[in-house]
Amino acid sequence: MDWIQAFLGVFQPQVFLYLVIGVVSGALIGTLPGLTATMGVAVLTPISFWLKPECGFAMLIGVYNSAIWSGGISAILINTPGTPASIASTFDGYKLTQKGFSALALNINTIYSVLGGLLSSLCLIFFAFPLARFALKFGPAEYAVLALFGLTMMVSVSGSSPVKGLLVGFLGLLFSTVGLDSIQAYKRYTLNNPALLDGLNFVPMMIGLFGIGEILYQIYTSEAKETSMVAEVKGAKQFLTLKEFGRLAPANAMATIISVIVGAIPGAGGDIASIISWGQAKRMSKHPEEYGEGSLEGLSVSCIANNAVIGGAMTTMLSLGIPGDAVTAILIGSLMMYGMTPGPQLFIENRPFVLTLIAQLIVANLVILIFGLTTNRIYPKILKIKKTTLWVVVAMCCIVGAYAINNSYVDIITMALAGVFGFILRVMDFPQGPFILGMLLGKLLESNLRRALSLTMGSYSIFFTSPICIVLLTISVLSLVWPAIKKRLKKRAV
Amino acid sequence: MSKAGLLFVSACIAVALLFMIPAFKFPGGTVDGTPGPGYFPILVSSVILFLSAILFVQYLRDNKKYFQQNETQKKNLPKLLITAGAILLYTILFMVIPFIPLTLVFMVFLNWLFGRTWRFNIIFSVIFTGVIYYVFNNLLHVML
Repeated sequence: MDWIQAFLGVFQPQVFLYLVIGVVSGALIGTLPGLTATMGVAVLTPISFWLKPECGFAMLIGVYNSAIWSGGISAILINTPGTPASIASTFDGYKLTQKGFSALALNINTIYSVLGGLLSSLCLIFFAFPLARFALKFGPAEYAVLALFGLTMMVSVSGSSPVKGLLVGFLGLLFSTVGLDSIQAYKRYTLNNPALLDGLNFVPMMIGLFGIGEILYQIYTSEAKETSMVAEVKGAKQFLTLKEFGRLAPANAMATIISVIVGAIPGAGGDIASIISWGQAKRMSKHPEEYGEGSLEGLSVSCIANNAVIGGAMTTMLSLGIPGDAVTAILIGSLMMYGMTPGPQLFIENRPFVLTLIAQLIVANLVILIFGLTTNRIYPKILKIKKTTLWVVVAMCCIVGAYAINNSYVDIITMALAGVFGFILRVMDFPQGPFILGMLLGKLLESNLRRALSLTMGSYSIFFTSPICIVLLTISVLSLVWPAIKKRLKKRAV
Repeated sequence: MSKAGLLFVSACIAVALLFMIPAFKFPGGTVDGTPGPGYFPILVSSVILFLSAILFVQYLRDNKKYFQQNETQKKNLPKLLITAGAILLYTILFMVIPFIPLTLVFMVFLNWLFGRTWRFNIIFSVIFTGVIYYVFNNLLHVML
């Protein structure tokens, strides 16, 4: 009965309208190289605060799913992934375009992305509730270690060196201490400014880091003359046959499982999932030589993997309050702005909203299916939009969006400074994600760490007696030292 | 030796100290063992100092030079600095100048900076400023 109400809620005219707006905006954002799903969700988040939670989240869920799907469009048509998650779609997608099968490739992208999204939504339904029930057993010590685990996992998979990732993550933790402390309500680093009593606002920081920071980086690195991106959609064959669909099924089932697991790991996003899945499918394939040469299996696997990550990422986000990737980190911030705290309590206090979110995820994929299969011919035109136009549009959306959150000038200046900081991080090859994660997890980590210590009169033994803590701490330490061990092993092998 | 790297790490050290030193003056913990408000900032700052020290040594040994610009980046540097400056200036003037004239000037300036034709520039700036104003001011009721 609850589920029926949740689905009916999504089809309320206002909610459905915002879902469609989200899907269309996401399609535009994802198709254009340089605009990522993270940036899209970050820029549209302030607008969502002016809507009812179910409408705001319908829009954000629409953007998230749609941008990941549509990232594959430019990967297929012009060999440039629209979002990082679509990188593996260039391997076979562009080859199919070169062979004159771009229409087929685009439809494969749509159908398999939607399939990935739907299958991972099922995983979300089956695993989020038991995981949340399990997490209800967590005490302050477990929560503190869980927050640390989330941070270290994101650092370890952030691509850069773990030391750099950790440094940025801990800077985020440090900035999260601004404002009243959670236990004694003591003012910290507020500079006597009442606007800082609640701490630094997370959303303008995030808009600056991922929006303005990215634009500045693109201005700095892009070529003076933009080469026009010529793309056309053609090919007599539009869809796979049922026989082909069946032949591709085992590899896609494997890719879905891999991607849901990868999505659930904090920090490991669609790019990692699709590359792992593509590589694994190639190893399993009877015709590995076709991979990278326009293989239908290769393209379908990379497309299903992108969107299957979302269900995994949403599972840990909703049930544990730990984001699976940068977008879910932003969604956690949005939930908090609506007065909801992600984690097991969300399933008790706001169960109808959790069900609505999952229903929105499923309906968003169905909207993408219809929208994607009917709009193939538009994308070559979208790809002609100049980058300079996008820079101006995104910059304006960032500035006005940051102001719109609280009608606060402090927020705009925070956003602008965060943008410059984001640019410096990009140029210096430091990951930006851990900073946001540090800011998000800071309060959770600090309050639970201090509460846990109060239970044992200040003794740290509590972190080494709980089995959950021991397991999480072991994985955290291993994830941090593993890159160094791997490097040494490689050196020895040479 | 990477000078930019050393500069960045030094800035991290300065930030850590800026948070750490006042934290020593925060109230202490309670009798039941709950650490005081200074505990977490000191702990985190200490880790930052430790990580910064590691990176500092790495950068001293490192031959890779960050900010070693290629030709494109050299050419784009003035544009980057002007854009960053324009954004910062816009955010400051946002408090004193009404939204529509300020945004119009800002957009015309950016479009000019990015080499768009005057015709496109004017039409785009007027329409987009109007759309942003309408969406935020009229639909979302943000006081611009």
